[in-house]
Amino acid sequence: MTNNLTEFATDADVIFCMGTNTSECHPIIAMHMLRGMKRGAKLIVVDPRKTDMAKKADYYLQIPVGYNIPLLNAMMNHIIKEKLYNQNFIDKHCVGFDYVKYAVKDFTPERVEEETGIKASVVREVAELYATSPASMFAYTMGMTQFVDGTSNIFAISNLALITGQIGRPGTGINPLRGQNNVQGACDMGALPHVIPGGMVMTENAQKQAKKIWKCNLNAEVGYTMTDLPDNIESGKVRFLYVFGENPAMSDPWTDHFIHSCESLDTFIVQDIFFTETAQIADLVLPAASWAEKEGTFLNTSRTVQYLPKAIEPAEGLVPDWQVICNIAKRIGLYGFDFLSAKEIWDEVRKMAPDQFGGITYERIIEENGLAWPCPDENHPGTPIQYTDLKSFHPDGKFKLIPIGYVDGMEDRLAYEEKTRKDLDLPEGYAVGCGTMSEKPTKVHPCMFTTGRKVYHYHTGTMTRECKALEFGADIMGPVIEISTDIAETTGIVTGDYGVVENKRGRIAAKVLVTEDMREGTIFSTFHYVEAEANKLSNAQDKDPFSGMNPVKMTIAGIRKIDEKEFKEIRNEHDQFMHPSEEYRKVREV
Amino acid sequence: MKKFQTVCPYCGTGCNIDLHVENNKIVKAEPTKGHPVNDGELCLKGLFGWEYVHSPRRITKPMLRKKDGVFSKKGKLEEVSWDEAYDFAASRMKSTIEEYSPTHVMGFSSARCLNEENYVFQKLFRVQGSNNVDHCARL
Ligand code: SF4
Ligand code: SF4
Repeated sequence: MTNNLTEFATDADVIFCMGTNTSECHPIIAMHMLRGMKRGAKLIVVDPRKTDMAKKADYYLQIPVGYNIPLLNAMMNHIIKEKLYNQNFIDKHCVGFDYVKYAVKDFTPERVEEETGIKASVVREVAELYATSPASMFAYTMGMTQFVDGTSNIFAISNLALITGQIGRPGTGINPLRGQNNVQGACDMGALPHVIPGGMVMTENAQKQAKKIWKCNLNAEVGYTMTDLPDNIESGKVRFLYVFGENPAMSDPWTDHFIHSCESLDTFIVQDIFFTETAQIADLVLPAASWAEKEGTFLNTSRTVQYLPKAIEPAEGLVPDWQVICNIAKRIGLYGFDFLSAKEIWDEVRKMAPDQFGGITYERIIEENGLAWPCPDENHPGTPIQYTDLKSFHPDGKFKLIPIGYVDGMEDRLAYEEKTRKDLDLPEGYAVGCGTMSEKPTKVHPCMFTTGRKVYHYHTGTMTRECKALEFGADIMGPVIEISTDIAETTGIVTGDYGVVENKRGRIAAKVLVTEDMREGTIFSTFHYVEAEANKLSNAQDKDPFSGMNPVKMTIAGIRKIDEKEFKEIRNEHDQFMHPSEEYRKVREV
Repeated sequence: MKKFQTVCPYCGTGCNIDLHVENNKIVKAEPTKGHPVNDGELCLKGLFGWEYVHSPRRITKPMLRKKDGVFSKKGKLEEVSWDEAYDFAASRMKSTIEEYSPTHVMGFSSARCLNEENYVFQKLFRVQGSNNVDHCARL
């Protein structure tokens, strides 16, 4: 996030939520938003599902799955037509306004109405509201990024925030709400193929820091992404895999392909606190101490480093994950793994990236209840709001506006990019984005299938399903397939029936809930439950050209009603199972 | 009874929790009063999501896939000593890099684990010449 999450409550005048089911996934952030509304802030929600927040919103726009860019572009089209942009901000701090003008010119609010039924007047109103309010804060989550055009979606958001100057002040900014507790930390610590603490691997600074502190030559070539892994294993490019604290056999899109590819590894190591679905297929399983059993830090969605103490002793023989990793490194004979405490590791991070973390000591984190980076020295107060000086990270300090289009199919993307480059005579290396649907409904698979989470559970359920209050809490129904009313009509399925959702990748069965809260033609399920795992159907072939992300949020599928016998047969296909007790297996009432 | 102020292990909000500990067992979680992030509130996961720490299904011993007492892809997972586990991990990583190349090894790190753990994990790969490190942020 560019800003702090508490500013929803204290500063924002307009809160724009796109593709975030905030009250289910980030309940406490939703609380801050609702406090903001009490103060008088207006809430705009854009989502294919009529979520809790959508029901509370001043404006709710029910877009089709994946219709993000056309809507954002239409808002900018109106803002430009009515000259509601911030001319002063654009002149002083941005480059590429003409590119945006070019890219959005065909996206009128009327076109949105034609294509989706959302009233053009509503598109105009929310555009005006966002552009003209003293402070507009944009929030989004995976609902924006898990598409083949995820990065273009984010460019479009950034274009909107920049041309209206809604950045660099309290209650503004571009704010991704992080799903997992330490996504921000994992990225900042270099758990990515292209970056280490200290910068991108090919940069001079990263090379210099690695040489100075790690005493090694850093490979300047970007590594493989997770999404390429199954193919890289099958072609023999990866022979040794070490998975730490994750459950990709369940969370990875197209899980069967991943599981199958793992059979060809020479060595497969899994380190986890439970015997997860992934651990069960490993060659070596390494247990470790869990949260509450070790000291360290997390980085939350507002870039704030927070401290966790060791509250209890782990079972005999268990040590923190970092110690397991260091022990392996030392046996290999590697230099620089003689850490005696988590604090010593953190102090090395501070040396690796001094501009970002130099002033963030354990003592200060504890004393000041968390500190936001960048914080270059020990007298620096930290940076809860980024870009207050209105300078970007680019050398010239200007923010780049990126032309973002939208085309009919995957195959048209390249042509769009080429034409845009030519028409605008873009400088070499300037980005062009383009959205599209990765798959379109067909006769056999006429529905759009999308995934998400529920308030009680978290990710693949490894942890939450081990907590009785959560697994068997008040209105937990176990896995459910939700369908829109039009699908119910054409298929004759009613709430409580068994249904099977299938496409060319796999199938899942569960009880069905018919809901009026979803846009027509949409099927939804969660990925918490191994017995009906939504990611079995997800598209892991198509990729975002910028990030390598798979379009997990969008795939085509069909649904049909089945009887109890067939339901049980399908359930029994999934034998890999971490939660073996009968209670977990039992079919619960909808 | 002891009280520890810590951070929720679930979503990226990073709510602060006061954990109440008795005889080395967590007995209760409460929102940290007056903390800026969650100002005295927690969602259900923060309030009740700690029980897994004491689950009987936690694993405590390393396991290696073996057949007739030696490592085999076709074997079954058997409990082994830490010594054997570390030796196996270290020698396999080393030999893969020597026989093939540094880019033939890959690691998945974790967005659920600590900064310090993510840092040493990626360092393990990078000092050996591999940038093949990623995590599940994309999911
Ligand atoms: S876009 Fe990439 S680097 Fe940025 S937060 Fe997401 S995963 Fe991390
Ligand atoms: S208490 Fe709920 S909202 Fe707060 S960090 Fe935990 S899961 Fe997120």
